[in-house]
Amino acid sequence: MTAVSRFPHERWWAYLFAAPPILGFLVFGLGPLIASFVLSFTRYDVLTPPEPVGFENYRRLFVEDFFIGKTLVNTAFYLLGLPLGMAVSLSIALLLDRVTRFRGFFRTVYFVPAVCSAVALGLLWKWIYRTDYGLLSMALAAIGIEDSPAWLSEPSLVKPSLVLIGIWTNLGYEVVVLLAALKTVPRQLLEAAELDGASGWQRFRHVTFPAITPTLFFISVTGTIAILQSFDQVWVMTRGGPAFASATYMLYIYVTGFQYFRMGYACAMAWLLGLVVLFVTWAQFRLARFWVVES
Amino acid sequence: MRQNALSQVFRYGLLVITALVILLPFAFMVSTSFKSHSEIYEVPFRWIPRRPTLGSYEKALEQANLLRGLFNTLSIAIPSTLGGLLTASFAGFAFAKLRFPGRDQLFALLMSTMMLPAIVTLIPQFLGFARIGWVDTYWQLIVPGAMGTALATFMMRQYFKTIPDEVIEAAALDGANPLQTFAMIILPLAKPALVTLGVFGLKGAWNDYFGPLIYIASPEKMTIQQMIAGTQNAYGGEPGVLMAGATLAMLPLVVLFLFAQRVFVEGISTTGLKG
Amino acid sequence: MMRRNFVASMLAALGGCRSRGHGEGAAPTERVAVTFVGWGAPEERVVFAEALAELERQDPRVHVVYTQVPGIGYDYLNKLRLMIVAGLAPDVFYVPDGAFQELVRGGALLDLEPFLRESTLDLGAMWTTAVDRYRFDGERVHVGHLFGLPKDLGPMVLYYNKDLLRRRGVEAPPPTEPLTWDEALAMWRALTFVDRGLMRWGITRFPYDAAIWSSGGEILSADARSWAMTSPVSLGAFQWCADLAIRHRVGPDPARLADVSLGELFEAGLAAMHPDGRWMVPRYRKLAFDWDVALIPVPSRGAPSITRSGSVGLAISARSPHPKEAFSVIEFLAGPRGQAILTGAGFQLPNQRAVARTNVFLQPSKRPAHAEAFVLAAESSRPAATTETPDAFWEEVFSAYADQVWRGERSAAELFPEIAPRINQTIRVAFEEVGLQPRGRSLSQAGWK
Repeated sequence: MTAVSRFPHERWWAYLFAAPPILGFLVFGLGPLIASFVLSFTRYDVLTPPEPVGFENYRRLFVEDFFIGKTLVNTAFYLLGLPLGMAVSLSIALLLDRVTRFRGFFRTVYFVPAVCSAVALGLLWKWIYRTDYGLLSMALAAIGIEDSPAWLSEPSLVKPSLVLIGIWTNLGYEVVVLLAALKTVPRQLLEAAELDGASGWQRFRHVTFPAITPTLFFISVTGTIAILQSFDQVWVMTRGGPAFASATYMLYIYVTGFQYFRMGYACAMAWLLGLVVLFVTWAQFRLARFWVVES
Repeated sequence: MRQNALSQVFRYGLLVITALVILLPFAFMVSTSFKSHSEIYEVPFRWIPRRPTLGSYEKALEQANLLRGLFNTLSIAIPSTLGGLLTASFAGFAFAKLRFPGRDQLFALLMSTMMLPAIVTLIPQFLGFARIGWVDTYWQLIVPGAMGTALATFMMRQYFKTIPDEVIEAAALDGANPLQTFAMIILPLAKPALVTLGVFGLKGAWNDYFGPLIYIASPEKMTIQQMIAGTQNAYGGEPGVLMAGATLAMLPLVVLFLFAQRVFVEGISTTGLKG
Repeated sequence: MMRRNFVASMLAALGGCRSRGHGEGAAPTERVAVTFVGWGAPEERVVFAEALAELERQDPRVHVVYTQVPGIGYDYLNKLRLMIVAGLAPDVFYVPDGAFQELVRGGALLDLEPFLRESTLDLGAMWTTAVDRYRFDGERVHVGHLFGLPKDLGPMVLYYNKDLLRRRGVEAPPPTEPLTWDEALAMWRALTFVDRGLMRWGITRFPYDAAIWSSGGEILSADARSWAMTSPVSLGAFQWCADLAIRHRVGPDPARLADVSLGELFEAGLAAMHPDGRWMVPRYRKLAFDWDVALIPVPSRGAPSITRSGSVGLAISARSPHPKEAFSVIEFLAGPRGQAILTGAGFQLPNQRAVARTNVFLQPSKRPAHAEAFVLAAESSRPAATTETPDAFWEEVFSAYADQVWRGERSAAELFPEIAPRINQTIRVAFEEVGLQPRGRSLSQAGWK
């Protein structure tokens, strides 16, 4: 069948319809992408024209800048929270999958944090983590621990505290996604396994888990990309402190570009992040062959 | 298979505990927001305030201007979401059902933008906006979204692809042009997708912080997220006001969620499965 | 040269069209409209209206369109920067001394030298430190041509709660002679006590820069290119400040400060003394307890009390279409008559030394009773160390790490040498970032006649 246009002037209509996103792509996507690349080889303070400096920004980025290393280490720590959160969410999803009543109720309750903004949750958790008067400290006091730690102002505690918030926030979202995935687990296989005398754990490991690995992979990839770019919550809660212990890479880009207006360097930093995101995503796809089961 | 009653109790128990873990922080937030300043620091802690007061809310809405913030946020969220739905629908239709040279290549190009983190394009966007005089306005936040994001276009295209080609061909045979076809046949069919995209678009615009942070400078123009983040400066010592602000910022979306649960849940479940 | 043009033209092509901002051209009357933007408290708007009205009476060429942005300066600075880029900058605007270097290096400010030559404004009547803050010679700040006129000077003094002092039988510190550190410590010890379960402290926190400078130490090297706080004198001075809370316990436990600010402690009566600037006066005048001011203590008798003072300047946009009229505005506001009017609000020390010594400033009927302390503090004050560098990032880095010393986890002697390389690198980068920029443009360079 030849591709005959059905409408008169179909192609012009199509161009018209497709124009806004294409235009948007050029003006807000490709253009800035190229500009950002070019700017990354300049020094630009916004007030005066950009001054080309060759590879100086990148040299500073890779060789000298100790903040880069610090924020990347912090981000790596935050990434550890992802598998932890998935384990918790998976456990809850498995439980929820097995109950018959109130499933919708639980799902609704768990999901509430997912609609709240990082800023609002940041304020809330900052108050919860407040020494002496916050919920957490008072709960500890109730069971006899009087000396409440400074959750957010102790360098060794701030990152775990933030990871905890992440797990709490994403639980509902992950549970919903995993519940849908669990529905795709082939029932017959499960029943057959049970008839064969397989234990709960064995059934999980050999039937359930393989079936949901694509979804786990999805959560892992999207979660990683999100964590690599996290800013809002840390900014509102700790501004990156204490002593940069909680600072994320995006935070450093923001301060560099939008507080101190070192735009050229900020562009270089942005490109580095872009490359890291691409690389990590590619790596995850490559590693997928070891654990993700194609349906 | 008969469920072991004990294990069911165990399961429900864990689920209830989890529900409490999720809800208690919110209860703490609301409880604090209704307490007077001195009562917040009282020991022992009480969930229900002895003398509930709306003082914090008054302060938040008036002095801290959060009412304005709510309004400002709507002024950005609604145009950008509606505009985005419109443009994404038209474009999604074009990419899904219309035929034109370069269609697939253009689409691939459009999708490529989703690969890189937003920050790579954000800095030059910011500089570009400044150069054309868009400083401290809402246009920077509305226009990019209203012109149709790659993601929204992708989703609408996916959805439209499920519509059989015969429908289009029939319309063409009847003498309709693509615009009429779109408006009268396609768009009504797209309601579920539009609702989903609309809800998620609103959520994203409502909760956006980084965008307003870099583009909006005047305090009276700030969005609700900016404002509640800013209450830490003026009201850092008044947790009641902070919690009232946080509650106000969360409330609209939570209400939306409660009314449109299925939209949220189904919207998310399906993306997860596609992997 | 070629590469720069290529980059610039590429960016211009990508940057889209530029809207041109103009001050409104000659209105139907002869008056030229000069746009003027500043910030401040609502009370200041009243005095500004008065001052500008008088200016317009005196100079019929000028009509000032004054906008007061609510809040503090730094929200406005970001916006101002972008407005400058967009060509929408007002003719006249505030420049805090901390932002001066960045703006002048960026070429955003107009060289005032040609105007000053024809003006009757007496710079000598102003505080030298206030005037010098707005100088730039193309390479360094604080020397060279003037690019802004000081609107005010905000010295730092020691606020003290007279009621608390009376209650503890402590003699008030003299307003014209600084106490020594030992005397001050003894005083603070007497003022630190437990009051019905509540802890009350002698002092909130001692400003470390005053401590260092008064001891003869420095924060930055003379050329501002490296950090000087690893010297024994500076280390000792900083540690002394931290020890007030850690060892002598006359200052609040730093963990407490996570929830409440130093100023709030003083206002709540939980700290008897609090070093701060003149700008707090209108707010403190509303306090219930009686208070007064004294000079910041010095290490030993006879040592100079060198403290930090803040200042906001008035500058003209380098691209203003009405530089002469704009200068007339800032000339008046910075001159004796304008300063006398503006001082009435009580926020700042006028830039005019003579006015500062009159009752217009001293306002003996209002608190503080001994406002002459501000005048004395002003004379020997210095701008904050961050004004010497193109940006203040190094100070942010320092504060983040210094917190450990304030909390007693590390000593300054241990920590500062460790973080010195990082701070020096941050300073170096700050200078590198502006090292290739064009110099601040004088009128002739910018193409005006």
